Amino acid sequence: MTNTTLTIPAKNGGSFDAYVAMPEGVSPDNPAPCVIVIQEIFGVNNGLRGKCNWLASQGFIAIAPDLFWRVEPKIELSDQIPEQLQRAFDLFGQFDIDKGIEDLKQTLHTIKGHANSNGNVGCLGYCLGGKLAYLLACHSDVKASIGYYGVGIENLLADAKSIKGKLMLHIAEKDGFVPPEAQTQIRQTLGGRDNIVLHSYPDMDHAFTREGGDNYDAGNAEIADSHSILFLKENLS
Amino acid sequence: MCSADPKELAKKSLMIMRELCDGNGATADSVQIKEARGEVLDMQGITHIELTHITEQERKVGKHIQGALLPNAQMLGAEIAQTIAKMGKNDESRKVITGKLLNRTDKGFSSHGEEINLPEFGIEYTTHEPCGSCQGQGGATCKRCNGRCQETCTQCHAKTMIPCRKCSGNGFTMGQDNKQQKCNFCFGHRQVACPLCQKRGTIKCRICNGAGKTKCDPCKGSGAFSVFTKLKIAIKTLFEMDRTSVPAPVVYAIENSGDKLVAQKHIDLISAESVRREDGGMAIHYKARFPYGDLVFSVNGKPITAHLFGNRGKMLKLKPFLEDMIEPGLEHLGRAAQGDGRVANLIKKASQYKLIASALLFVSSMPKKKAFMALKRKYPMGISNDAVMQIIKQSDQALGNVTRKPRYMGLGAGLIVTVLLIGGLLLTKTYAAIIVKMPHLIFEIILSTGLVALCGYLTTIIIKKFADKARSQAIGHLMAANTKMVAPAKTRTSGLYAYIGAAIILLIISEITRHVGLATPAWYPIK
Ligand SMILES: [Zn+2]
Ligand SMILES: [Zn+2]
Ligand SMILES: [Zn+2]
Ligand SMILES: [Zn+2]
Repeated sequence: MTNTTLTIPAKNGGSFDAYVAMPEGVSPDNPAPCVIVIQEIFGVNNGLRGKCNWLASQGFIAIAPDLFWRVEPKIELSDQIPEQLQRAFDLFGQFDIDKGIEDLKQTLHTIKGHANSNGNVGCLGYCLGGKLAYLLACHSDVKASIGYYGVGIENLLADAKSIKGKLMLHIAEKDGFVPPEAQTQIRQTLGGRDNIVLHSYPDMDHAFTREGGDNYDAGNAEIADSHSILFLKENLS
Repeated sequence: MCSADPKELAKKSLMIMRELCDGNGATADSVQIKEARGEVLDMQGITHIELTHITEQERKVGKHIQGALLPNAQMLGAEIAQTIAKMGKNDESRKVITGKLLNRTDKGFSSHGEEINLPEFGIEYTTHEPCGSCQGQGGATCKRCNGRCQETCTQCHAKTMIPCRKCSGNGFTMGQDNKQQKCNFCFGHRQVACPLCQKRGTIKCRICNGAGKTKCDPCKGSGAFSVFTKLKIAIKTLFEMDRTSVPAPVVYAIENSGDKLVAQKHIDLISAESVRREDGGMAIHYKARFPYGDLVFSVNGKPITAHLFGNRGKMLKLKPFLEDMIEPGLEHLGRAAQGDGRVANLIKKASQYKLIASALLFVSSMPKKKAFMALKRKYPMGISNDAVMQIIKQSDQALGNVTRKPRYMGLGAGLIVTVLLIGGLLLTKTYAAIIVKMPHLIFEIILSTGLVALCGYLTTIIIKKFADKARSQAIGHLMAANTKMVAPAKTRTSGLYAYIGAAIILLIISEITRHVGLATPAWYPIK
């Protein structure tokens, strides 16, 4: 696995960085599918780069764009340091969702043309990124999207009618940020569609796959991740 | 083939006539045959068979084949016309088609305007059409890369190298001892290979994904559409007969239900054979035979004419005469319907006529429309539909009159029970005790609705009991024979009042609870 940084031109001027993890042995003659890894409210930090490296080890070109660049470029925060946690929520407050989607579409466009890309791009996001992954599924031609415990999806269900690719949502049943009524709403609206898969995790709280986090649960994280890898391989190969 | 003897049929019809008249202002013995003339008639008819067809078309993206593949739409039209022409000439298919009618119990006799599908002759064709949007090419040259499959790299802008990020293109970095040292990322070259294009300067076109072409959307890149045409063959019938060869009432019967007359053996088909028309078309020719007679009955000395037709002595066109015979009964029924006098007595008098008695019985236990049908079945002849309708209507009104007072007495009794039930629940501590265990608004609403429904239902039962009693006083003598079959009396509008009353009582008692300091239902508005 090798890693590098790409500079991605933003739609209306300016540019932002994206961390890229490249699997071993891929080349223009042996191209690989791409996955955009969408950040939580902590920026493109060690944890998120770790997720990219993990995807690269599974054979995907993983790219994590710095979505907070408009407020503060290259920020990296930790959920374990109270001041940084507070800063993360501040940044989240200033974050413009529509601009975020626009930046993700630019990222999709760039990585699609990568010399080693097979042209099939998916996305995968956590928390804030889970919601963005859902929105990218609704408003772009991304082929497969995965959202881990996305917050606020219940208010955006009307957008689901324009989903063209495949969508997988991992729902933590005891998610402190997604009340049971919201989960029911999501299941009733999105459940049972051919192109949407919903996975539920009883007794799991928000961010149960974030290593080192308070709610981390190794067993359930492994189950969710293996669902995700299979889903990406099926839809992007 | 032998048609029944007209004399026998006359005897049979006398029995039918006696059945109609007996108990309706005449006795069985007072009905006699005054005159009878009968003969056996022969007639001829022909059912023409026309071949018709419909086509159903379905379009699908891509080239597929279902059934025979034809080069174009013109060939398809010609092929269909030819197929149908062949079918009309071919003996084998003619046999199958005429068999469709000849194998039926009515052999197609008098079938007119009937359409019969012939699924065994259905054929499917396919034609292929080029896609108009892409002229059959399946796609167009990609507009972004002009078919070159590549576009300029957005990272290095075709330079293949980008400035080193680590040393910002200086070639050296500051070491710990504040000395410059060679950048260990670009090894002093100040530039590194472009990570996006891998030093190619171009990247795969992201619109066509490096294919140089974009797929045509309407045909999904296949360049063609398949049109599946289903040819469905059917026949349409047309019946002709010599209308002057048989009496006019018989023409009417044959043209309107000739198939049933054959199937139920009212008339005999001496022969039914398929023939080739002069124009080559198909037809079935029939010879039919049936008895026919003119009859004059004498009922209470008055003459009544009837026509007898068919092996079972079906009576045609019997002029309505029963109305006149039950006239006195109708007058009593009319007065009962208007409530003019003692209704129960008037009903009793009217019901001395069997026809009116039947009407009262039917009406007492079924809706008016059903009662009409039942009475019509019992008296299919000799009385006009209007008269039957009138009798049903008046019987219903008369029964309503006789049960009115008792129904409202029943309503009163039911509402008293309602007051006791609802009061017993709300004006004691029972209600508070229940809702302490189930403190939900929804539960209280369900409980109250259920209570109103229960009380309303109890009241309707009480009303029915009261009405039953009054009804059996008026028409009990008619019901005695088959008491078990008779349904309970109708509640009419008082049934609705039972539920409305229960709801009002619940509201009043809820208001009372507010003033005496007892638990008020949660749904009850308190200002
Ligand atoms: Zn086309
Ligand atoms: Zn192109
Ligand atoms: Zn380049
Ligand atoms: Zn350098």
